Amino acid sequence: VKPQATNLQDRARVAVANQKLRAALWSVTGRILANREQALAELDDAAGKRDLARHARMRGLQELDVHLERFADNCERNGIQLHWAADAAQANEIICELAAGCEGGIIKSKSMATEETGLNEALEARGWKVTETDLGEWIVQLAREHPSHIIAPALHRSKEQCAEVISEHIGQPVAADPPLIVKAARDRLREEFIAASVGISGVNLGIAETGTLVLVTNEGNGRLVTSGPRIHIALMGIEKIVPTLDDAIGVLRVLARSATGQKMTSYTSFISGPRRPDEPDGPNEVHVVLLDNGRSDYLGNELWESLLCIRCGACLNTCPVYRRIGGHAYGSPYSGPVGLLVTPMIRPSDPEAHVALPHASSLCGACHDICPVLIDIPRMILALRARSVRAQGPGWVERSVFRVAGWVLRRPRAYAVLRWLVGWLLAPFRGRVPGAAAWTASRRLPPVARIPFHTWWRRRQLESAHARDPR
Amino acid sequence: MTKGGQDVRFSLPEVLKDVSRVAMLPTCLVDVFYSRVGEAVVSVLERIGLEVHVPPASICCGLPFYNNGYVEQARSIAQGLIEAFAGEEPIVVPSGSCSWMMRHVYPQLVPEGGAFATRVVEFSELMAHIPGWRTEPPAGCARATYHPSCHLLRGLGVADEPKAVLGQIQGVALCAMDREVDCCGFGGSFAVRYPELSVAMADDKLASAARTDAQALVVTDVGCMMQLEGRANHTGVKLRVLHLAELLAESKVRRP
Repeated sequence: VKPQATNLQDRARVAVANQKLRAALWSVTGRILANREQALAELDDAAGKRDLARHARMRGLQELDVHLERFADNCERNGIQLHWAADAAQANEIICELAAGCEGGIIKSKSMATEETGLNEALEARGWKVTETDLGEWIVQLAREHPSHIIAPALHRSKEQCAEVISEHIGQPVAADPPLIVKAARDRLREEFIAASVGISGVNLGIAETGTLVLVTNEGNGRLVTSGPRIHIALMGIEKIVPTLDDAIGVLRVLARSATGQKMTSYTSFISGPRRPDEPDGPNEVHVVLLDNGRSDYLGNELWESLLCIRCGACLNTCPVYRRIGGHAYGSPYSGPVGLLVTPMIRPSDPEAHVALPHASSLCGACHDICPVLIDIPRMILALRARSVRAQGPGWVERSVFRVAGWVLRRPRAYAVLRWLVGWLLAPFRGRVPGAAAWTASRRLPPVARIPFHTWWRRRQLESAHARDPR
Repeated sequence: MTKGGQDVRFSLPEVLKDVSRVAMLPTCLVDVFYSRVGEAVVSVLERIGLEVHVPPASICCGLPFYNNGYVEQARSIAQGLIEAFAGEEPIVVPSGSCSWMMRHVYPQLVPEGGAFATRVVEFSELMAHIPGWRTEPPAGCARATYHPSCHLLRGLGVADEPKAVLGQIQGVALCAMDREVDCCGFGGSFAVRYPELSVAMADDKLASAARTDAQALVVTDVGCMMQLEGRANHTGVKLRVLHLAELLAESKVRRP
């Protein structure tokens, strides 16, 4: 793992200066955005489909307890075994126990929930071999990095950098040509698929009425992970529930289109239980680990709407901040606008997630516009900032400045004095005011108006009154 | 940005019906840094036959406080501003972000906010709804490009009005930038918390503007103006950044 700069601002500064990273981010996110645009243009009544998807997700959240119980009952009826995890550590513990004795190794299909809990590290700490099988995810695993994008984990790496890390791993040169990279990965990963005894996946949606896990993938690796090994373990956030199959379809209709611009992903799996006696293949056991990790707290507060997220990554692709710094700078598995909301949920005691992270946004609102389930992300970023102030998160200097300014701005006379003082301090010949340096190092300050507008206006009023009534 | 649920009922034609007198919030950035924009707004409003009045206590809308999480201060400022604008006349604001604050946030902050919000009219909205004004061609501005501010475009959903107003100015060709809806990187305190990132956004915006060969970059928010003009002056980009009101004042707008 690369050494990390100490804080968010430093990491952002380093990332924005990295021209190679900037070029990769700009071109990949730009391409995804263009594909998405086209996919939506071809969709009949795209706005109506967005509303349907949002309502499908809302129905799940509104009576989540009821739907979860129904989901659990129907899963058990289908032979799926359920486990409840209050937090990340508990989820990892449960999965480690289920996977114990996995002689052939563990294979994984891409899952943000397992990134959230740090599952790979937990499994490796027990001395087990874990292999990611999504191409991008495998590359970042080999490079000992973390994914930098919800759906495109290796987005920050050029194809040369991808070929290099695979060459090193397999001990043979691989050309920086995508089809050859894919071929090398297939050859190598095939062995892992055959040997593995445990497959671990995430879950895109859980359908309550049928007890079904829905999984969308593009590379086919998800199918192999969930059907090849003896045991399939799925880690699922409790918010992923939708009440009905129709609701799931409503969400799927916008998911791939928003994520990659596809009508549907290449593989959409509906998993409703282990192998049945009359079936030739499939796992002997299917386990679902339902993860809370802060979700039920969010359900009851002003951040609940973030639980509607279907992890399509569209808000990352359109975010002017994400597009210039990439995912790693955020220091969380969930980056970009929605990461600003989700990270404080999964890291309740990390000050950076609560104080600094909500400010990694210019509040431009592009994320709200693009969201396929219309999550008002800027509103919640503001809610997090307000929360941080209530908890005295910002330093005393900042808090004092805002408190004093708030008092002054309600009092025209005090304000006039402050304005004069600001003008005096910012006059060019007096050099830099320490606080203004962050601005003036890269931008010129406009000259403080020689005559402030209010002064100009008052004089004008006096002059015209005098002209009307000269005495 | 908060759309939908919290919106107040708002009908611009109704607010501006038979209007002859308006109040104006110059905004704090105009007062301190860009008096020239405020003077241009007054000149334009008077030239189209409106009587203008500016209450002395009309200082700041409180957005910087609200945006940084200082909700109590924002509430107190909102209360003060509402008191400062006693009366019924529409309140003209030469800023999309301040308009957003007053129209979308005030109703949630203070009890009188809902009624007050219906009086708030952003400058380009006003111009687009006032019929019959004409201009002369402004000097040295045959090609102009327009940068929509995020709060005006996405917050208030005002996309066409500024362009319609620009289109009505004699002798100015409007050239659209690529990715014109992208943020300029100002974002209030964001510009000083993340200066490098903020100017990277400004540089991309200025490059887009340069590709249009426009002589002027027209904005409707003084925040964007500080950012884009400040960056252009720092890096030596030759591009005039001006507020829509300045361009109208230079075009000698009038209503016959």
